Amino acid sequence: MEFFGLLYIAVLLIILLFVIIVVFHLRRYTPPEKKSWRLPLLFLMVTGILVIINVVFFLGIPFDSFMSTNAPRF
Amino acid sequence: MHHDFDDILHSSTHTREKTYAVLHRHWFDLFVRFLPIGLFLIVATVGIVILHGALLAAGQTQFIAVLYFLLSFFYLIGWMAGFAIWVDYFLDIWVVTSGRVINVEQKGFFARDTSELDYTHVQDVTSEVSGFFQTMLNYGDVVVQTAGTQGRFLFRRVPYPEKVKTLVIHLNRQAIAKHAHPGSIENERRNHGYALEEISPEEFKQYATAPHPAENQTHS
Repeated sequence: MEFFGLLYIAVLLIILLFVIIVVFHLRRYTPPEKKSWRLPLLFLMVTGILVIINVVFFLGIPFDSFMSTNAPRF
Repeated sequence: MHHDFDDILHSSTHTREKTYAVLHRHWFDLFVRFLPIGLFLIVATVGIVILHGALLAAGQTQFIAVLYFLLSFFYLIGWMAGFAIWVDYFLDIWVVTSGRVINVEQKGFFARDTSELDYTHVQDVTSEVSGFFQTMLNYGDVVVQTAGTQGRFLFRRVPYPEKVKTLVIHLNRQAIAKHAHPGSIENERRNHGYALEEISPEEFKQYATAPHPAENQTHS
């Protein structure tokens, strides 16, 4: 389960890196009068926060309790 | 260092080119495309909250973390989808200058079509406004029929389509007159009382709403 957990976090980080690349790439095609860093940075900040929140909730999942048997104990 | 948008605008032989309009699609088109994502996120949030209560009541607290993980995952996916939609809206641009019309159409993240239309190739210009929302919010399509290989040049769901049509027609007439008769800026001024080449983009806004001077002329 650790492997899949690490794999999921790695995929999220790759997606975040992809988003950063795309934002910087697309900024080249913005009309000069509308070009500023405020909007791209705001977007990247929110994306980063959402990724962190998602990772925190993922790490908070009690996988062990799902693995162990749920048979009642007497 | 040349930015790509500047390269598009200054790539031709047109000199002293004035930019009359830089158009994006109407904001309502963007809102309509965001709506399904917004509704999905609202439904997901409400569903997760209801499930949270149900799981607490049933004593199955180990699944609550899964619920909030799923909710954060949905919000992340919705945010990314919204980003893709917004990029498509923001980078679809129509630029109307004194020399040509430029259409930049973004397709996905890594594909872009850029086309130019010289006014001398314009044959017909039509503005199309259909439907309740387009009529109320005054946006629609402007179709420019051309003599070139392109055939049709389309402004999709732009605001004030009638003004855009009027502008393109006038620039077309001016381009034809200039091509046929050098020095015809003076002719334009004589015939209409003004020449569009002399009007600044700010002044054009007044021109676009005023009746055409030729409509007030009487012919003997």
